[in-house]
Amino acid sequence: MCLTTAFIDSEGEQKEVMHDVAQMEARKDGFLLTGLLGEQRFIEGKVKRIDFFDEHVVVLETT
Amino acid sequence: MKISVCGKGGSGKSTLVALLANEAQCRGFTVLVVDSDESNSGLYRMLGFAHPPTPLMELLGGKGGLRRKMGEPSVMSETQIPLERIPPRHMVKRGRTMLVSIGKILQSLEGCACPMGVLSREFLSKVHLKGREIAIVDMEAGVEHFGRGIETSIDSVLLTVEPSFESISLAERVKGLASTIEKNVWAVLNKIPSESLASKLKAELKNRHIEVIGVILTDSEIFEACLEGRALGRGEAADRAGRILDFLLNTR
Repeated sequence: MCLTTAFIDSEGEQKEVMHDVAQMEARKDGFLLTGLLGEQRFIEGKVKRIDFFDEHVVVLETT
Repeated sequence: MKISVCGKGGSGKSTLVALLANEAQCRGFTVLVVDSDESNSGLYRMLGFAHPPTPLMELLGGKGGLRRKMGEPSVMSETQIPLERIPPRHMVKRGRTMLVSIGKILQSLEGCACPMGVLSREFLSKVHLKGREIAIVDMEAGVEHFGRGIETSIDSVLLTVEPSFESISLAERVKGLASTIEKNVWAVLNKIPSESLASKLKAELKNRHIEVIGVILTDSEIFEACLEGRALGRGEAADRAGRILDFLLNTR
């Protein structure tokens, strides 16, 4: 699936924060995630990993 | 009840969807037909509509305008979608049968159909059916829709099988994929030239633990209707589709 599932990595454990993410916008202290159907969520932190093969996963970690 | 129809390309998914929809309406059901096939566009003709509905993808701005329109509220933002909440612009209706279309790939280099897969999955999970309402979904050919989780909210998966080894092989894969998400799968044989060949196919599918619940024989009336792009008539195939529908309604 070309849309992203976003996870947050906290102390080595990954927790899904949003699926079907269509847009990820960098803000000052984190990223604004927007889902295909319009839902939005701001995650404070930085990108730890983007995987273009495994379900297009984005892993964020809090700073 | 939500029924999906899947199978190999050209095996007669849209034909079976149209036949089932007609029979469901004859039995007093309000029928929602969901065109979830991103490629073929003739389903509306088989159902007797003059034009297709505006695709639901347009609610999100279409593939081109998705970024611009993303985040704007629409019926897709709601947790449940009763049939009367589907915007009139996005459906065509005749009698108690309504047709919605998820979206079509229309241009070269347009990109993949992933957003349509998500929309299809979300729409089907949110559609709220009451009393004598039924949804019948025309899936894209092949098995990618299983990977996209479109069947998640489907009650029964119907599999069209034509007399070819490829079609039987695909049926076996679909059976396996549907089993992993605990969905009932039944096969309908289509384009069958004789009862003896139907028996042979049933035996092949039985060996693969697939039960056949109906047989649609080769029908010149259907071939002509498909060739001319007009609504399917009421003949032997319609009677057989009616019995398939009765089976599904009685086993839910």
